[in-house]
Amino acid sequence: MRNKTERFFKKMSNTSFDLAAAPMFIVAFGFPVLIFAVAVLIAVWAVSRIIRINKKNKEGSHKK
Amino acid sequence: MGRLAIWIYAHFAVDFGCFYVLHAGLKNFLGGDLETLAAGFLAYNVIAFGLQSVIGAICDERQVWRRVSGFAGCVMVCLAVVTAAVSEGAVVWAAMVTAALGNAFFHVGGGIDVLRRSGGRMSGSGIFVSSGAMGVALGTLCRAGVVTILLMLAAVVLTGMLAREDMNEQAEADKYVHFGTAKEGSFVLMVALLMTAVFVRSYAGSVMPMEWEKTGWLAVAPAAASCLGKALGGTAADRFGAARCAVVSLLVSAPLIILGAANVLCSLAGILLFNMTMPVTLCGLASLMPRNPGFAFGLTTLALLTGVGITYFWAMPAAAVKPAVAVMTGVAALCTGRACNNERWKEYEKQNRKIF
Repeated sequence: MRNKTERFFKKMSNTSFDLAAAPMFIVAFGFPVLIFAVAVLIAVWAVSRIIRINKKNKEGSHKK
Repeated sequence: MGRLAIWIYAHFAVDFGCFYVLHAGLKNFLGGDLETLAAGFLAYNVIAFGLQSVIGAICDERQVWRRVSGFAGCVMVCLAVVTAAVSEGAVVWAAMVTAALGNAFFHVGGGIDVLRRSGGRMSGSGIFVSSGAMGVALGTLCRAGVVTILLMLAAVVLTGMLAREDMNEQAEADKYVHFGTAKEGSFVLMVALLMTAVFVRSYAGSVMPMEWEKTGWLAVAPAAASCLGKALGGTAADRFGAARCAVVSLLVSAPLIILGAANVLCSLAGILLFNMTMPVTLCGLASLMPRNPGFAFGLTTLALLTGVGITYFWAMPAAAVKPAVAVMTGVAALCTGRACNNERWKEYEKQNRKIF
């Protein structure tokens, strides 16, 4: 078990991923991705609302 | 007229304040870090333009939101301006987010009020939106915090008066909007055509060629031309019909923008004509969904955001700009011409006298 733990930490310390740089990594890549995701979400929601309004309009014209 | 004058001034002040926060605040703080600055500007655009459809939809459902949205937006932008003017450091990010949120609330609140009280005229919405262009241009150049705070305080007081007046109304006279701009036909197709027209116009406007030096008064000249175009567009559409006004102005603008790119006057005339379609597309969408003026207003800004957003991720090759702008202007003219009719305001008012 101890060997396994040692091996794990050794492996981790050899990786190129720098933990100290993680916040900057999140800011550099996470921020634009977040912005893009929000924009896509709003666009999808807007399309669904347009379809709902269309449905309501059709129902209204049938009632007339 | 009094209400419209207040909205025009407040729109100028809000856009002035927002661009003061972006340039004197955020840009000043980030200095040469252009990548982070671009991400910040994109975030501002997504919050300010993207959220208008969501806020607009809530305003369409809830009377209180509809009545105080414009005032609340002014207060938020005022707070952001004060924060950016008196503090330094990373707090400008918070000011930027507050300004963007305030911008979204203000535009929806003002937009709904102007559309509702326009009596079927497109001129009101064009005049309301037009003053924002000047606010953007002058706010970008302004570095005087005190001036911006005073401008914003006046806007807060004036829109506060409007909100108070609205809150004292026992019942709203009419929460629907009445325009005869869009043609009858498939609802989804008409919405898609009008949004495509706005999207294409937005992108073409972002990459528009201007081969003259923007120094001195010429720095604000494109904004002034855009402002005048939006204001005249609605009046011309009321007088000559929406489709006729939009198609003619777009088709005449294309050669002026492309062939006259090196000439200041040709270029400015092109920008003026290019912007005349704005009230037509807005009122076209509002006429398709009379119970949802807030959402209709938000859809136009969502299409604007999509057009501007492309420029953050992809730069068009310089050689392709002029032909692309020509094609895009043609597409915008085609979409608007197909989606709108040629009914003049006087004819529409005669047919619907009972409503007005």
